[in-house]
Amino acid sequence: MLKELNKHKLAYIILIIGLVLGVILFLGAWPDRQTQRMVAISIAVFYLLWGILTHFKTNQITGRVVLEYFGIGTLAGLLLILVTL
Amino acid sequence: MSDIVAHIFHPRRSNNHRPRLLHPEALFFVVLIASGFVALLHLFSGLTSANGSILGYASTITPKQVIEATNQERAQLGLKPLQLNQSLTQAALAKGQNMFTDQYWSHTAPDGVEPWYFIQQAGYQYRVAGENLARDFANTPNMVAAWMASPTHRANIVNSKYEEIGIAVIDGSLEGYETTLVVQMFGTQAGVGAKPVLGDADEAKVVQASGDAVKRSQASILASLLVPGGQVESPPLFTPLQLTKAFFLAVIILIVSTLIYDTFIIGNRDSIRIVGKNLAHIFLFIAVMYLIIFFRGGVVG
Repeated sequence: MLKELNKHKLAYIILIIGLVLGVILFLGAWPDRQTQRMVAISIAVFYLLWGILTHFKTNQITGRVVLEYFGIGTLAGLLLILVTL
Repeated sequence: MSDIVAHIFHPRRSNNHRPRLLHPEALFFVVLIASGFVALLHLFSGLTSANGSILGYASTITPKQVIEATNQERAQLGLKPLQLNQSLTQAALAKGQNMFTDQYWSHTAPDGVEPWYFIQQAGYQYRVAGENLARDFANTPNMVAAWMASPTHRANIVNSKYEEIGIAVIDGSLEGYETTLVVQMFGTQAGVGAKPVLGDADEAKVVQASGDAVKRSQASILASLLVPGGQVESPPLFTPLQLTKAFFLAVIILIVSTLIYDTFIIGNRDSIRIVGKNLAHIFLFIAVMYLIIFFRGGVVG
């Protein structure tokens, strides 16, 4: 894992900053659940874009990889939206 | 059996050297399961046991606590404390009972009745008036913190025009769940000879801006009585939020464990595969797990 982190240091720094920002915005939006749902969708979209760009830069992008990021992002976003219902 | 488990969790030839659970198709299946779980939770929300409701929200909120907390917030801004008014309390109680009877969660009833109607019916002639609503909170500090975090509700609490307050804390069944509704009515009485008005324009705007319409339901009312919080004989076993959190955390732990296991196994092999980054997936799910754990329940209106 450390090897992977060092290999793509910048990409992971961007990912961590994005996720921390998402966490702050989501918790900060309380008790406005509508805004929390918008933040959840933003986190999912950010993650999908991050995955596509990172794999594109390393020439390791395939349809299934994009689909995997879409699936992971959808699951993460949906869990957050459902918890606010 | 062990073959199926291995196929789902262990990277091998049968699953193209990636645990089946991490394949996009399986992830979308998990999405369906999570959605189905929440749908079932709402479908069976009215389930009861011999001891009472299984699902619902129990609270320790009392009117006295709400008034004290409200006046504490006002004192911090140097505002005069609000005095408890029995007519406003009657109005708040009538509004709360009306929400349970007609099964709605909004400042305006499905038949168009506004908060001012209940205030006038209670015999309170007001110059200015306002209303804050809350439901599904376990205790007073969390509820007042939620009101203070919402600009429109905060505007009511720290409004210098208000002199009096009425509070109703009512247990009942709303949208199938046992819950506690809190209605906070603010007002200042009109002077002698002053013509009553149907709510100050600014206040009405504040109230209506924060309302959420809830679908009218035919669900029967299980209870609708004024009881001090914490004295409910058989509080619900679980809140819907607790069950949802527990299920979602179990799902995340399963996926994160599989990701860690897959990283470990593939790290010890010399195979090359083009798949998503496990570490990134783990980071994302840790963030989601954190948000689910620290997500605070309760709804203000």
